Amino acid sequence: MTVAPIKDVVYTDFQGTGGILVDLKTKQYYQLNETGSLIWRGLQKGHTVDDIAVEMSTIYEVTPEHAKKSVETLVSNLEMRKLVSRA
Amino acid sequence: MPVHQSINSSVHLADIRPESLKLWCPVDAVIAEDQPAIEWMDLHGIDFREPFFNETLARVELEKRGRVVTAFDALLQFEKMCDGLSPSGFILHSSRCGSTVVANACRAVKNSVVIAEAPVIDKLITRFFTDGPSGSAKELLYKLLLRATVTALGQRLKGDECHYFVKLACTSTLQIHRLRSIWPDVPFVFLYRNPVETIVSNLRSIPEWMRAEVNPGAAAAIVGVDEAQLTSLGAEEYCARSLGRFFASVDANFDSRMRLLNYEQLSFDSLIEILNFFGIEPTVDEADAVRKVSRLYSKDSTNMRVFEGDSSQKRSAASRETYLAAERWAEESYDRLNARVLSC
Repeated sequence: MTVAPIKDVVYTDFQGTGGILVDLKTKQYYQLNETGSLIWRGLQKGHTVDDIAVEMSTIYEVTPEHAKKSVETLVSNLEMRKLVSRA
Repeated sequence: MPVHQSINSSVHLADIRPESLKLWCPVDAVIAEDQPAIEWMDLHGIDFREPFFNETLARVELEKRGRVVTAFDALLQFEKMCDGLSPSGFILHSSRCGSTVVANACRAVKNSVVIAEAPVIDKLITRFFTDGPSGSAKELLYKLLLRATVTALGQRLKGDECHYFVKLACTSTLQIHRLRSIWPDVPFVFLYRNPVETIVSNLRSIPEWMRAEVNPGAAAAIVGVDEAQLTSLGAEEYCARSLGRFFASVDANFDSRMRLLNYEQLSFDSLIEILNFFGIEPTVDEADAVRKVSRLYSKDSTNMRVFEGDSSQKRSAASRETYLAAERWAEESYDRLNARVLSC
């Protein structure tokens, strides 16, 4: 199962330290921190939750389990706000 | 330089594809249909030859060019596809201190774009004072909108532009830390002047940023007092407190990518040094144009009025209140900047 950003959601990065997601339909915007941005960029590239968790654990020196939990938490949050969909 | 937020709920948002905004520029930040929005204007082929952005717009408006208002996200999307110039330098200043001469010197460089005190930039920066707490999503949104606005204004509207300078309103100096976070590597120059002379100049012709009633929240943040205190401040104190805070902000955020230039040091040589600092080596013709700029009154669009120094005249015209306010609120931080200049 893959998770993909919704077409009408635009991400704008700020110096690699975070960014803003804008839902073009509702005009609501959401702030992503540095790790949230990493997860979003991974989803944009079509990476799986597991792939992103591995990347995160490498960059931030956290355990793969911890990283996967973080990714899943954010993905659930994004899904609840209809910013991503599962296929 | 307006520091107020335009409220115009009767304006309707256009549903427009960002790519169709090519060679259009953001000219105002407004509220439309109860949401943040950007007003755009078709500026293809335009050069910003006048000392101030709004003067260029006034000229262009006679041509009945297209205007449209979009939701803020159109600007963020436009930035991704816009191949605008990156800024070569930012010009910050403490008001009435020669910054327009520096902008005109930048304008004397062939194929340069100088955006001077564009209200759309000023309005977005002003939001940091009242509506963008540090670390908030709004702060980040305004930073992104500001970056996108500067990028969009840096489009090659004529096609051959290669240098891009942005002159900000004096109150932007208080947001220098946020500006630096957006443009960490771009050179900043800060122009400033003796506070007594600056206060005299501002009292003779009160600028909008000194009119607290326009945006009391922003005014209080600029002056550094509670809104309730604003009405009790005399104009001298209002101006002196602001100047002191401008100087202190620069002093606190000074770094190796910043140059300070006191009004007293303004000369042909110092203008060339600033251009060098911005990465420009003027040609002989460009240097001649800069020399001409250094001899003219900077805010005269006709380029006919010769500049005459008026420091001693301003000091002798200053009231006792002006001297006292300058001494109490601005002299110390002014001296600190001068000390920095001497030590550089």
